[in-house]
Amino acid sequence: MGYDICSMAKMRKTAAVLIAFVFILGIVLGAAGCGAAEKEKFQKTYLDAFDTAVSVIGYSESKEEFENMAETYVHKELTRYHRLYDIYTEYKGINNIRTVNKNAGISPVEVDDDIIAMLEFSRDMYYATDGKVNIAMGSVLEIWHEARNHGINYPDKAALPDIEELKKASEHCSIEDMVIDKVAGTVYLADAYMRLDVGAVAKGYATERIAQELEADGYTNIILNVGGNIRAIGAKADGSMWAVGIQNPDLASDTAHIETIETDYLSLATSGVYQRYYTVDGKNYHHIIDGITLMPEDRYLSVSVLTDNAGIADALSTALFNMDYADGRRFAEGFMQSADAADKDSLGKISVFEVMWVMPDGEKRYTDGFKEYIVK
Amino acid sequence: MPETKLKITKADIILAVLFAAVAVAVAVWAAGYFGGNADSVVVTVRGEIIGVYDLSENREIAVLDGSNVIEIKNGAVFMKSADCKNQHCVRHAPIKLGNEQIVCLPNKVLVEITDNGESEIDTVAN
Repeated sequence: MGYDICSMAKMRKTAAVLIAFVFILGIVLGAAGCGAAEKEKFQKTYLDAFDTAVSVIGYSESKEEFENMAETYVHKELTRYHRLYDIYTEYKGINNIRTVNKNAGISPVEVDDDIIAMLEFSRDMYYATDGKVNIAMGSVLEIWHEARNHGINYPDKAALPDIEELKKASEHCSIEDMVIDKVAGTVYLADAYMRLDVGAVAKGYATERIAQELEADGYTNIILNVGGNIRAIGAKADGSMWAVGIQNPDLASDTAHIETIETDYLSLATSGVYQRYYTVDGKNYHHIIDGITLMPEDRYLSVSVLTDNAGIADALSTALFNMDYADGRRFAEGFMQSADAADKDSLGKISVFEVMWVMPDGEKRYTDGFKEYIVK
Repeated sequence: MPETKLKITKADIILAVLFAAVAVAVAVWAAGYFGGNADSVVVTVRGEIIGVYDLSENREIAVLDGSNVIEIKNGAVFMKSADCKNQHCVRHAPIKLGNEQIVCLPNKVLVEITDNGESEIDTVAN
């Protein structure tokens, strides 16, 4: 039994040094940790708003705080906007776009200010794009919607809409027939056969409104993804940028994302052939209908727009999809100046407007500044 | 110098055990912190998390009495089958990165890979 004096004493000395070291380390790490309350990353995905998947991703001091924010600012608000902007369903106690459509040619409908603001924004988008995104072409889109749903439900009976029927409907797509009376707070469709379809605008517009609300209330370190409408609200908690993958239009490809972009305040929206389509005689027909040919055109597989405002990104990705490449490029390069010149309240300040087109063969084309946002 | 022998006291043993415990705790913490957790797959049905699975373990997960069948295979996840009309989720390419999702909107099924802090993307514009 017993060890010799020297080694036992040494061991105790070593132990004392170790204990002292651990104490000091503890004090140093503790001080560093307390310097700033650590924010943790959270994510919440909803599948019951706007007929799409909605993700809120952000940094917060607690899960409870994060989920409160996601619920009150995003989920509740999106549900409210969805009911106002719904074209398929009416809800008890509110007049929405469907109510406006049902009263086409009959009478003006009193609506919420948030409907009027969205319709005015959509009208601005119509004039900014020479009608390439047109919420007044609901009568045409309705025919396609029915044919597509029928084709999805009964694939062996899938058929294209009758072109004569489409042409007849296209005579009732004039934006001037959407009469907004801001004083009375009403909307009236002066053409009885006209229908509004806000599918190309409403989601992005609502996303932008929600983002601006969060910003106004001092929230930061958040990124929203409302069915592919991306909007960053400040950087990540550590100051680094959010990385956003852009979906490969070829869904079966091993490469899930054809590009990854980074931002701390911009919006990104993509219009693509893969998002909604049906198959007739082995050919896919997507949901973005050209206002002139009244058909889904095969100019691109997808068009992505990167800009400040999520409403503009959404609306203009559709508009650019309906423009030939040369026209689209000219439009994209001139848009920032024209947006400044127009000085429209609804457009807000535009500091960035960049576009990526994916051609039918998969080739990617970009506006000059787009590459600055690509993660290498 | 007196001829006393230093004996191992109770305090020495307690100290030794304490050191061993601290060493184990530090090792566990470091493995979690630096080693990175294995990616996991979270399956949510109608807002309820019904399971968390290891991305590296091949398996099949049937939810809603087989309405949707999810397969984890070779470090990727995909929707093997779904009884919905549009088949969007089935056509979706397999996902393998943190923060990627596959959604079956009609059946309210969400399949996502959790971010272990090292994913190259935060979200996907689709």
